[in-house]
Amino acid sequence: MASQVQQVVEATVGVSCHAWSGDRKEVALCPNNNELRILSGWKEKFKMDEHDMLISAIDWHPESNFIVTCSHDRNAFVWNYDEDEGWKPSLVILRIERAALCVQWSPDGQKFAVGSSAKCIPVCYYEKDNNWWVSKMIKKHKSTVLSVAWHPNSQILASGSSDFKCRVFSAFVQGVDATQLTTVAFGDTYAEFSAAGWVHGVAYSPSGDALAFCGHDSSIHFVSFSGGEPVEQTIRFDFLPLTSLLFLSETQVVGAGHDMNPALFEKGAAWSFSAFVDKKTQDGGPKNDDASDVKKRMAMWQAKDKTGQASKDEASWLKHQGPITCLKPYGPKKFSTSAPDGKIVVWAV
Amino acid sequence: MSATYQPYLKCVRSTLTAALCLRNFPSQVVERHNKPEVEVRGSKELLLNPITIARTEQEKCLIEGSVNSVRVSFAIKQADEIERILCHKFTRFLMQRSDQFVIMRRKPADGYSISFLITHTHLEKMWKAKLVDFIITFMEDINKEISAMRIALNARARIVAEEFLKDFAA
Repeated sequence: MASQVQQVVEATVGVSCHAWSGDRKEVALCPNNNELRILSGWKEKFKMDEHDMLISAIDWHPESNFIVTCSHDRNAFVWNYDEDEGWKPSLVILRIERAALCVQWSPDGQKFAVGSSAKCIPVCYYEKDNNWWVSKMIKKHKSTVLSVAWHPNSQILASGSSDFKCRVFSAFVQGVDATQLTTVAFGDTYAEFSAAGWVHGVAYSPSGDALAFCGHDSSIHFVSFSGGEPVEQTIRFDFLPLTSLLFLSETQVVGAGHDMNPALFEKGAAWSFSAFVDKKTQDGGPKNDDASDVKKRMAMWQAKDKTGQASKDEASWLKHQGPITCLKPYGPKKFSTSAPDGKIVVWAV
Repeated sequence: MSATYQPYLKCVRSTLTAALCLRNFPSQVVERHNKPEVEVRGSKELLLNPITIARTEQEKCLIEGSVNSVRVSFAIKQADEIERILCHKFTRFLMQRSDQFVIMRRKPADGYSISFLITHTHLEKMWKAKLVDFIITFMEDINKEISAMRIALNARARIVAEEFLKDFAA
């Protein structure tokens, strides 16, 4: 298992979210403020501060090469790249009165969904006549929408909310989507699943047959739609709750969150916890590999100076030193995570 | 330190570790605000059930969790009048300087001696393990300090009384 660690900003600053370009040569990230930075080969190429407040989520569509960002200032921007002028923003009419928390492009790139504190999801699409992005609302939430996930057919949307529920909606928009695959109208609920805590993350499998969501009660739930009725399986684990999920394949899910160590779940006959992705190496972690004796001693004194005790932290070998806040796909069998410790780590499973 | 104090601190430590799973959560009630939900108490579903860990009737710890903040309150043991005065003076002194302690609250929660308010911004700037360490060490030290002060005060009172009464004995 090889992994690549990159300290992109200082540990006291942190990364609130990140997203990769289609060819994974560039990464867009937000250093926990209103700036959007585009890095190419870990070198800063562009810096945009169009937003007023913290950028809460970024998504980069691989085919259309559009970036969408949403922020606590209630706005979202769609950025498109121009050879001469760089990244150009276009404002999205979100029509929400509260902060936007999460955003995701539909797989076909025609629409995106924004989860918000206004207890609704604006599903946005491009209107050619007016030349801007407009939105249609999915309501029916009783609390903040913490995460959204698209079904691969781009017409079904799942959401996780802090009212302890995961819901599945129809997001078919007349005029944008060619043929209607859904059986209910836009904004109507297909299904509703409960957890015992806030639902921080949802994810759809590549085929769309399975849905996973994770709750603050240290649980992960898998729902299979392959039969007629949806079948739900719940796993409770003994480490700290997960906040984001990602399907690597039909039988592998990776979850990351407060435990700072991504967890891998695999499907045999049923889903089960398989392993942590970050493994402790024999020599106490790669961190100390190149540290000389003097450096080690210096670190010890610095730790003593700061906390009044030598560092005896059992978690210091971990690659992330903060709760993982963003989990993104990175090619086959690979994913990347970012955390408030200012690092982006690319993992291979 | 007595034998029951270590398990108490250990319990507080593990509860804190679990409670400090916070996320950035802007207010869903007020536009463009981001306030600790445990203080604002705007929406019921964002608050966790408060947990009390008690060692004795007077010595306990209240941990109130929410989606983006945690309030930790400690009641320090106050066995007699002197300890009550010492504790009051000591916590007052610290809380007047709460800015320097970053996570300390200016006023304790009702019925408690001292309170801390930890929000997700603190966790973004500081390591969680160290933060928990700080609170535990702080509580250990404050206990030690108050016992030491009480002993010093008693010793001093004894000497003063002795000197004073010497005049009558002579």
